[in-house]
Amino acid sequence: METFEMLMRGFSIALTPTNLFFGAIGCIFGTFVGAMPGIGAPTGIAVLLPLTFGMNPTSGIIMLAGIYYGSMYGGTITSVLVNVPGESASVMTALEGHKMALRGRAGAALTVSSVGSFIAGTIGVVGLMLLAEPVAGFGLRFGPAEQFALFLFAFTSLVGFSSDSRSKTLVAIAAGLLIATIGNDPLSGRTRFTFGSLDLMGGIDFVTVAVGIFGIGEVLIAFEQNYKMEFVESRLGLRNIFPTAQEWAASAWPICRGTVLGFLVGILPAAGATVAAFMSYGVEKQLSRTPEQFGNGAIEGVAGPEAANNSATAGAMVPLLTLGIPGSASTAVMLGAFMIWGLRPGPLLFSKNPDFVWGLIASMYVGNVLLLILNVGFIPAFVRMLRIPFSVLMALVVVFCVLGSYTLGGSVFDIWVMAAFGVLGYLMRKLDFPQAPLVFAVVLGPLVEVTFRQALTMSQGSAAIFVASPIAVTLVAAAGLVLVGPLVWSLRRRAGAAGTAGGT
Amino acid sequence: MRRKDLISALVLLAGAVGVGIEAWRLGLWSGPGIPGPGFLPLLLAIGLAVGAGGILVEAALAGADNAAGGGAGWFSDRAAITRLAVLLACIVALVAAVEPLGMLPAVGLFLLVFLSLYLRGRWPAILLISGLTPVCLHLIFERWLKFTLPRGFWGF
Repeated sequence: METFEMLMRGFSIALTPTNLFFGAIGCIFGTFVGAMPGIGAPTGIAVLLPLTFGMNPTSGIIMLAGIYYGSMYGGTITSVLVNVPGESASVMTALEGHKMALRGRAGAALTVSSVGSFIAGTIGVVGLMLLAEPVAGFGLRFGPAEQFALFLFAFTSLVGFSSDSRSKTLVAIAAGLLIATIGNDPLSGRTRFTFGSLDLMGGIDFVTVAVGIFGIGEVLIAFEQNYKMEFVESRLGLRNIFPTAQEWAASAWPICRGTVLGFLVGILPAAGATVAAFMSYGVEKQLSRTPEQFGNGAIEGVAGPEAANNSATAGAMVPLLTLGIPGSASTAVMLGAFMIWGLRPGPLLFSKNPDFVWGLIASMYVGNVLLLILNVGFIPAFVRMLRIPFSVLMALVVVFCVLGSYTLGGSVFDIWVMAAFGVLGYLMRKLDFPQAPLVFAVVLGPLVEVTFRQALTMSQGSAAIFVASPIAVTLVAAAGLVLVGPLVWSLRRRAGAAGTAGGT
Repeated sequence: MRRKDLISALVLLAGAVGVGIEAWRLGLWSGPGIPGPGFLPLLLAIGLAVGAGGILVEAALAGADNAAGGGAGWFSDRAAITRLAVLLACIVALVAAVEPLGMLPAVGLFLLVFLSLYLRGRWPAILLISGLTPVCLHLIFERWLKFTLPRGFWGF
């Protein structure tokens, strides 16, 4: 009952004209950046983040969340019409959706995807609402040792579940945490890794890192690879967008399964929407009576992954809001934003800032309705927007990155640092180092160090404190499991494959 | 073994050694049982070194699996070098121009130069974008959000 009352209070906040306006801006911008190859949700959020510094935090988070889940809707547009996924979470949609577009069923693919996304997004928010408070209540039992064990679990999940090289993920995390140690040590006051620079004494802000890596880094990659988009000519008027009864029937269960799977995967630190979409595609192919249709325009391969990537965004909000652990690159940037606004994400957020949390949750319901309308009724308008020359968009991203990094601290030095991180982001992409774990680590770094050193100080330097309580020991064991488990699994698969090859 | 992995692993190992030495110099303990400012950086240096070692092992294993691994060049095509160099030069020029010219004139100039290279001949569009963008940014950042942007020698 209390949850319902809080939700109603949230709606009264989300439906104010100001918050509706910023929510709509976030959804439209999110759809746009999601559709643009080379500008994903993390880039969109990082680039627009500085605009929120002068806003009320609730309006700010409503806009950023709109960009986040809006981008999942937007990623479908270019996946279906251009065969270029705007978002990594839409890769599977491109496989089937574009084949449908070539058969003249682009409208049906986009509508099924939008309706599936709406259902999954809405159910995901219900899940977030029901799960968030109990998890936050549980989080109140965490002391420094438990908190550090949770960070350890999050980082080992990034390494264990990484689709990139595990060693490179480990390097990215260590580098991110090292970047976070630059400047004055919060406990002793000594300066670290500043090389005598006064500008570095205050440390490097995560916004500078995120804007550089996700903004400038992606622009450099996009220019180097000379992204071009050629749209499949499709009629996308109201008459052509409705799927047939058979297509609806084929999509219903994949949407349901994708919703549940996506939400559960989204909750895990490090997994996120992309993994959810890949898993959903795999499940649908396994369960299909006509698996041979997959790869040739199977609508189940659009419906399931699209539902999964949308409910994953709601799932990723659970650890973010309740424990202060981001579930994806986008939520990592949002976590940093919380800190800039003076909010500490975690168990106390629900009791100390209920308007902020419930306003956000209610805005996600409203945003999903808005996105459904936008994505079913206004696809031709988005397609026209996407025909803006790529060089213009990229130039504007550069301008926003420069302005964004300046407005943070009012220092031109920050712009140079941001540009340097842009080059680092480009090099990371070229050398196949994952970028998101580095940004995760920069955002969480200060908290990781403080909890780690507080816990060790409490135990007079004994690491036994990290296995002294049931919560800590469970988290440390889970961390070990997610780190070693996938490694053992891949070694066994390798050995199995070698055995099979040897036997034939 | 992929050459770029070998080089990045060696650079990371060198970085790890440098960080480790600096962490040691900072002090591992502040007092009995109290971790000092160099404690976490030392652990991270070890993490970097382990990761770099892992990259070497993974590259060696990949090399054994696929002898052709690493054959792909750094750039997607020859023109990519020019595109990248022009973009980087424009970004560096923009940042360098922020203090002497002021943020908004520097942005306008950046857009004018950059778009004239990529939107060849479409002068109405180039002038409109490079003229209107600074005006919009002024309205958003200075009027609405009340940020003070750097002003150049001509006062805006």
